[in-house]
Amino acid sequence: MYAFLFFLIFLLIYTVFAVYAERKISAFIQDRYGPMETGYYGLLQTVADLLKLIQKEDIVPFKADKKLFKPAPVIIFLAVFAGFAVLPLTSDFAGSSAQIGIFYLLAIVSLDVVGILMAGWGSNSKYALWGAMRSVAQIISYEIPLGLMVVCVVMISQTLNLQEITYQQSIWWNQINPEAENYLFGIKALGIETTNVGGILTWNILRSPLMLIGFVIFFISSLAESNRAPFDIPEAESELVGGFHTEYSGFRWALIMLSEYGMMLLVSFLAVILFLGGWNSFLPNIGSVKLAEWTSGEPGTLAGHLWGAFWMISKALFLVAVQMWVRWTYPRLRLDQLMNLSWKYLTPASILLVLLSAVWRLLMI
Amino acid sequence: MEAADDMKGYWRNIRTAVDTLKTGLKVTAKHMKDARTQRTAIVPEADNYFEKQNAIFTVQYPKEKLPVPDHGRYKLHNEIDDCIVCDKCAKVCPVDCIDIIPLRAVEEIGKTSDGTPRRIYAEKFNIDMAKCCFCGLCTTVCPTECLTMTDEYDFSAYDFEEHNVPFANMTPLEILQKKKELEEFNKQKEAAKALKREEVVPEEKAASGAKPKVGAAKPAFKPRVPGAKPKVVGKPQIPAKKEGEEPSGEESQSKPKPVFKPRVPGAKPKVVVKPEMSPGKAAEEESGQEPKSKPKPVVRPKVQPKKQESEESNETSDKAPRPVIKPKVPGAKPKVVVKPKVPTKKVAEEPKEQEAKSKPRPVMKPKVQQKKDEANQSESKTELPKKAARPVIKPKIKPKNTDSDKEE
Ligand code: SF4
Ligand code: SF4
Repeated sequence: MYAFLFFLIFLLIYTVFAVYAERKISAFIQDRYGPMETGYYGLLQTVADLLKLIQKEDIVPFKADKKLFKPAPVIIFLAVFAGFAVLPLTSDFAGSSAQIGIFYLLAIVSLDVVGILMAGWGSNSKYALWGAMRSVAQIISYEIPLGLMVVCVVMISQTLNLQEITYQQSIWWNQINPEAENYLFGIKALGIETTNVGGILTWNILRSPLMLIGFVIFFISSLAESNRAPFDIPEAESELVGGFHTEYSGFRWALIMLSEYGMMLLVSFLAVILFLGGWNSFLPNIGSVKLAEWTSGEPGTLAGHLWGAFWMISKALFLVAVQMWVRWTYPRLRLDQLMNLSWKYLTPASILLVLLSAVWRLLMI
Repeated sequence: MEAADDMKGYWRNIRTAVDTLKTGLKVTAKHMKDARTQRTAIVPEADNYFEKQNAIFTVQYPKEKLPVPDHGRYKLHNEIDDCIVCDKCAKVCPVDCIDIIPLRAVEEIGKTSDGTPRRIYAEKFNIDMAKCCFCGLCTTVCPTECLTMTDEYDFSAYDFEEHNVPFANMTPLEILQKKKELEEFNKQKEAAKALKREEVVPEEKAASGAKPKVGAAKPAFKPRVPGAKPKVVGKPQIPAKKEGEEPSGEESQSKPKPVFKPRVPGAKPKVVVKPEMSPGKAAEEESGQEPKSKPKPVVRPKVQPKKQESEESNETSDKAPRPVIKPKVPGAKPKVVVKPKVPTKKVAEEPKEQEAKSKPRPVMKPKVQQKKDEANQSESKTELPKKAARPVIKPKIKPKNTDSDKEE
């Protein structure tokens, strides 16, 4: 319940400022200022935009299939928001610590596609339909490398529970599993134990250096999952007006935008949990200088919550910022290039990584 | 083999992709970093003008402005106290957006800051910025440099009317007053002239004799300039007569020259006819008659008339009207000079510059021409060639004057 309220409110606030950040980042990249007029340095611009959006007329095209058109944004949003349910925000704070957390996450996020297809189809507009078709083709294609990367992590971690995956990357792993041991780069033969060193050394990207590549693949796929440039052909403003949400206006459109930014946050959270140590500090303990312990609290304590939430959220927001940076750097991929990238490059690499991860796992025990 | 090549291409693609993606991110990261500062405004003359500057380019307009020259191509400003209402700016304006109504003063009303005497009030001096093309011609011709372009370029308005900027600063009451003064003054002058005329008539005859000698072209004017003052004398008198005879409109008087010529020959009745026509200014005749446009000289007379009258009235008192004309004439432009003097304020200076504009007004000229032609013919046909040269100038003058006259 607390997690629900927290994530809902957090998501709303985050979206408002993510839109602002996006406009600022794009502006800076293009040598502009971005919004400057509303509030200090334009800070309240998105709030004003939101107020305007809420007041707008809810236009439903006359020829639209209203049964599909109207609920579509809600379904998209619900699919994205439901994903937050299993995220362990801190060591002791999560909506649900389901054992099959990551499996559930992948499944529920796929529902997103259903909403998008409903929106595109129900709009009865060629642009919306094209956008929806592209979106479906794209998301289905990219779910494969995405899913395979998750599989890699699961193979390394031997669990589907997101909270447990995070614990494994932490200095507190021994609290839930006294016999657990982490070794540098996951290679037991090296004999350098890092269980109590923690920090970045126990993050999944370094527990198994293969995951560095895995993280890149995951990140690329997650961009496609959230329909972000350079994989934004479902929206492709220059070709499809607005893609699958062309016909939406007012609050429904706001919901779709909210979902898009929610999706960005969700995949960033996921990437953080799977590869970047979740709620753990990146500073390791060096001898008696217990940087890791100083920058994270005991699980269950208030300090643990605060530090955990801080690391988790700042890492996720950093990834969101990188997503924006990427968006305003690269041009949009053509549909065939998109498929090329997914099927000819990312998917084979992912399969290879799965194979290698299995071998790596053997080194870790 | 093929497969091997394909594989090479495959790895090369990956390498290229990684390289280019990295480069791209670096470029945008650099821009983000540079966005902490703002580009400085530099003039095109600066050495580093073409150097890439990576800082923010945006100028937050109403709050920040790029520096502009003090006298760029922006909003016009007229320092009305320095304006001698010469009408040059209005005549040179290619879009006719300057609207001036002059109001002659009975005496010099002061000096501009550069020492030019002011003799005309601006009853109305409007510049319609909505029509203005900001070519700057008017500022170039302005003899007192009172008309300038300012550095103000942001003067949008909700109503076109607001773009019609009035510069004249006379109140309606003042205008009325000055008008009355002028009227009285004119009356007095006419009375004086009437007196003079009686005395001068004999002289006039002598003058007429002189004119034929001068030569055909515009004889009347030229002769005067060169030195044949006697003729001039005659003219002033003539206008006076006309006025008396043709009270109907001052405009008719304006074309005094035609009147003069006819009179000189002796056929005064002709003169009367012309004035009437000129007022009408049948536009229809213009097109065909443009070639004849040279007759425009006639037009000048119209314009001048008012001024002349005033001047003449002054002169009449002095009885030395001619001197005035001569001084103006430097020598080469003698003919032109004459006109300027008459108009004194407006006409005299404008002729040269206004030549280009003069053509449009042909309408007026035709009328004039006919009259003139008649007059000329009566006098001497040889005059036509001479007239041709002048025509340009004259036509210009007429339009404005006629307009202003009508309004008055
Ligand atoms: S700038 Fe050009 S268009 Fe504007 S008033 Fe002067 S002459 Fe006319
Ligand atoms: S050109 Fe003549 S009328 Fe026009 S502003 Fe200058 S002085 Fe005044």
